[in-house]
Amino acid sequence: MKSCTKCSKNIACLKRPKTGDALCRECFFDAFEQEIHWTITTFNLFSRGDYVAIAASGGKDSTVLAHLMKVLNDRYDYGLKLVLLSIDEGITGYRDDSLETVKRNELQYGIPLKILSYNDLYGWTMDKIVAAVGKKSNCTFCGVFRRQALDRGAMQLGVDKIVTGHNADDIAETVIMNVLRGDIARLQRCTSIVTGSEGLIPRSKPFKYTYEKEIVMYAHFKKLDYFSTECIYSPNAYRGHARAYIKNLELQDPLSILNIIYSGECMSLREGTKLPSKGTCSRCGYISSQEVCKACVMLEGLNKGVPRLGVGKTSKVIKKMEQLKLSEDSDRSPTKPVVSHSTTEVPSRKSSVLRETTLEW
Amino acid sequence: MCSNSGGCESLQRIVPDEDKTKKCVSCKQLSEFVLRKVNGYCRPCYLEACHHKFRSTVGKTKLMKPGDRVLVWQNSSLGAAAMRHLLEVLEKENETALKKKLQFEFKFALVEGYDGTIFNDFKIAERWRRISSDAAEPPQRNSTLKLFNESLVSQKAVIEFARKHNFSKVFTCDTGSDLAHIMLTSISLGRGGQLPDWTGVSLERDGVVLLRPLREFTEEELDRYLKLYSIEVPTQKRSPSSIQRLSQDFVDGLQADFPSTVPTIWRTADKIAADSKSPLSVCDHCGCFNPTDVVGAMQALEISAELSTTLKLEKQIPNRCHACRQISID
Repeated sequence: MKSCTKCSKNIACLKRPKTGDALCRECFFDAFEQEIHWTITTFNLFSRGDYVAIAASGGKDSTVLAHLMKVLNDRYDYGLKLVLLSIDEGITGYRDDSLETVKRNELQYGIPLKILSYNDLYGWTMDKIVAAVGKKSNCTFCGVFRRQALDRGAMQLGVDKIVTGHNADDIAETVIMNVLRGDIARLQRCTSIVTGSEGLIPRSKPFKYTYEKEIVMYAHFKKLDYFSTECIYSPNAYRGHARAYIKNLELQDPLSILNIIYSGECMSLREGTKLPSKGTCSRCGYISSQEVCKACVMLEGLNKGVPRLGVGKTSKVIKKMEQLKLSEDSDRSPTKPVVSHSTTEVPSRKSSVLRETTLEW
Repeated sequence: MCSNSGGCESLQRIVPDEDKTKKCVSCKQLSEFVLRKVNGYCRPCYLEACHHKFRSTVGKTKLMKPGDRVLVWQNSSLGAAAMRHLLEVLEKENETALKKKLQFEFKFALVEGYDGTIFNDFKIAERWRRISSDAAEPPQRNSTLKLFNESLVSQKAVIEFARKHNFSKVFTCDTGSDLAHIMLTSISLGRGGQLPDWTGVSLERDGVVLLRPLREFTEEELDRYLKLYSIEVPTQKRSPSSIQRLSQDFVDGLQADFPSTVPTIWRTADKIAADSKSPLSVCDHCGCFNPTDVVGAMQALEISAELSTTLKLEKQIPNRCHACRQISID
């Protein structure tokens, strides 16, 4: 039996994925917690008195995050006021079950919970969106809508900061994805520990340097109550490739994950490289590189019976938007039929739904 | 957790349009073969396009000067075979004087040991040079670092040879596909800030400029080029299990379904530089620039090590970048 490399007293019960050291349970907890504390303090993620929303999905990452935020806030007296913020995408058999976990977490950790649904915000649940769009690229809708939903929820709560459970593996994967997509703007942003500084509520990732495997171990040994089912709608295949690549790299050399993040931190844009200009959406006021943000375009498509309107290259989306406008103009003449994509049941809402919700904040 | 931020939808599999692939993209006559799943070509137009692409890649670097002596770094790869042929063709075109003349003279070189043995039956001609790479190899923890160090040491030997023998330029035979593999490998080794050196169009060391004129060609394109001239290339040895091999398999797998993968990767690399906000230092071993005051992943790693062992940490070797320190740790 090997003894713990840290305390040399207890028998080691695990091999740390990140460093390869054999640790006993107590030393692992201690190292894990201290590392998060180090990340929080080194990068000044919070100020005393901050009201912080923890993005909670009920999954392992956000459950461990909620637990740790509570533990560290008490132990080191950060002076934070915490709240759990959950987004209900409206996915039957997945999100409804995981939200039950978050509701239990609310009681377990004594942190109040706020749930915001896609249905309230956009007038659409993911189930309805999938019915209209099909299984292909529905993740795009979910991703775009969730991003805004978290910000809106946070604004409604009046919080100062948001924390998310993105871990080191997620960030490494995102670096690789952005390289494959040639998305320079995102490549530059994706390794920042705090994002969203321009007019939005700052978001930070306390698990930026924390390995997914260790989060699972921590949750397991602490017997935390989390929900561990994958989303029922098939995840994006392309991202799946990147994920598999990262896992294989980790097998070759566990340091790879941190190396990739370090690579991202060391990169900057070459002089003279053009970036898309950032503005705000003319409809909802959310940050956007186009005149109308992706969420508004997607919503317009859904509401007008052209669900795939917002899917595809930006240049093509703009073209499709223009065509839609043209066909709308000609729709006013009585001879032409109304847009003929009504193969699925789509409520005929106008974009006013979005405007109404926009006014709330 | 699901961290889909959208945007992947532009990367959908390409469905070939038969009406389009039937015609040559250039002359609109009947095509003879299809590349990148969507572009049809006839033989003459394709060869012309390849020759043009090679010239233009070299030309737009604006680094070649009349009278330059170029050392062409050869190995047994597909890219190297294509490079030999492309240079021959351009040389012949010099005689016809229809095209702009090559303004440089070139010689071929092989690094002995690693790949050179394959050319033993080649009767190293007047035009060929052998370079011996005698750098002592540090023992390596794994094949990833061993492979990386081999290529670094060879590169150093070639540049040193070029400098000694008055070659101002070195041409490598890295294809766009090779560079895409190298880019992902470099990122996984923590060399993200050094990408311009590893995958960019040129690199300067000790006054010698190394150019990568095949960077805009994918393996598929060069393979077709060589087939059209019935040039056979020995099957490539697969790398041993390593990060290099994983990156190759990963990129090639994607490339098969998404033909824009390789060009996107090297174009991305073109837009990256080492973090310019911080002062840069030069690594003793690889010669790349590195930011010195990035606080992040490496400090996090130190903390993790401190918190989980009582063993003393390995001494850091000064003047080496993070990735080269790994090479010499054992």
